[in-house]
Amino acid sequence: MVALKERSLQLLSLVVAVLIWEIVARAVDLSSAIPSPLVVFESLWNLVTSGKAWGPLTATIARTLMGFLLGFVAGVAYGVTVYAKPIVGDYSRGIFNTAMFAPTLIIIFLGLVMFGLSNLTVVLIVGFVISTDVGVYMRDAFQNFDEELAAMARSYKAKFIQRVRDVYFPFLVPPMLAAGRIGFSLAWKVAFLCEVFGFPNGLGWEVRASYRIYDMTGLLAWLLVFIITLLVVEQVIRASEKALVRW
Amino acid sequence: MGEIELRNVSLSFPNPKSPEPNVVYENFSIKIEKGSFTFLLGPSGCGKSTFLNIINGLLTPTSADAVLVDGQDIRRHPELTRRMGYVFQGPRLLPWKTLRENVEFGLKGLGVQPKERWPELIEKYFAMAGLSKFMDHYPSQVSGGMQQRAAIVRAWVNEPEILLMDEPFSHLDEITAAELRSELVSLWAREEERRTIVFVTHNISEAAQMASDVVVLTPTPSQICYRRTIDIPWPRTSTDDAVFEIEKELRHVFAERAGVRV
Repeated sequence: MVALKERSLQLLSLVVAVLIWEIVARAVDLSSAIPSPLVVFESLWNLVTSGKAWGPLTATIARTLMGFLLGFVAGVAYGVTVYAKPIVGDYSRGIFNTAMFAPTLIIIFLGLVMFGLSNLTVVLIVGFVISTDVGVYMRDAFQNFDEELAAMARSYKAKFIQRVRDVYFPFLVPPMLAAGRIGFSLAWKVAFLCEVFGFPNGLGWEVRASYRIYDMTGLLAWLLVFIITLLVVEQVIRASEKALVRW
Repeated sequence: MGEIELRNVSLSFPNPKSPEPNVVYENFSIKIEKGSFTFLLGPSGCGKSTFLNIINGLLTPTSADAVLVDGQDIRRHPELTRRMGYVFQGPRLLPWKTLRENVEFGLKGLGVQPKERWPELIEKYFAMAGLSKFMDHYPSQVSGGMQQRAAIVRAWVNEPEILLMDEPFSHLDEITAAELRSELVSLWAREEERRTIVFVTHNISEAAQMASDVVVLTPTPSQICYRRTIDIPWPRTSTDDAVFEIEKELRHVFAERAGVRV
């Protein structure tokens, strides 16, 4: 019941946002600057039904996913390593915090200039950005680990595998899902920006192409493809959170 | 199995605030009889829990002539520690496992009970703890008292010869604690071959009501400053004159020898 109410409110807020958009579009009355949402939705519909959206969408998703996986695995590994060997944390804290606070745009520029315009470059840039955020998140999550549970497991002579499977891994599931959610939306944006700055395909390139010819309707339609995909992924992660974190 | 003996155990930890280490034990010796319900009493930080951790193999002394269980040194025979159950101050249940799964975690870890006996043992001990209906609940879905009972089941289900209990009722409300105390004593007392229970507490009334033996420790470096056997039959209540006398005596010992007025 509460969830239904929450969803209704979310939907209502979206409807209100679209209404405001429509009102502003009518007030400004300059479709090249602010097109009506109806026109944008029509353009979106055409993109989807004609199949034009799929090519750029899959290109961006592929880069995002590969970069995300690389960064996520590296970030979780960093968090686990710092827990197991705190000295690694002492030495790396400064580097990781600096990397996390460095402007993403600068990292993208640097990466594209240093490694050239290739899919691998995007994957590496996304992976790097994600790994620092996920790594710091997981490192800090371990501070909430209840050491008394580890002592209990030792007193019951649980083997390493049993401790990892029954004590550490379930503890890590909620922070990994949270880090995954934040990380994926960040990966999506970074991959998108990489495409804006230097790729002949992908959602970012489509938005850039629309921008260059002042096609605001096309730009907003592509932006909607971007946002809707992110919302779908977010819902998938939330659903898996519910299924995996029952306690 | 069930006799415990420490001979000349020394243990110290580095002290971050001083070049001098924190000395918990210096040539500390103690013997705990098989089948006894021994209470270790002492002021906070006197090394009561440390004693349990040494016996359970979780802590290795800096030096020791012997850490014996039934005459065998656990440092050379760590498998002996599988015959022990440990109940902690808090329940220390895994929040992501149901009460049954938590008990199975202990069964699997110690590995002393054959797997085909698990269902029977789980049924039996959950029933004894009055938790049969709650076996498939997560810890967050039951009260603190029920969580602690489940923790006792996790220890007891392995039918350990030695049960180590570290202030297991100190976090509970008095009514629940009193109920669990009497259940624990009756569970222990009605067994044909009684297991050894080492119970750490600083609750003097608890000791007077439950113990067959009481050992009082001094502040660190810990030494035994008093020990006695209590041969008042169970069940005991705090209103029994004899129990009250023991309690008075223990309070006196605490003030005079352990240097703590209670």
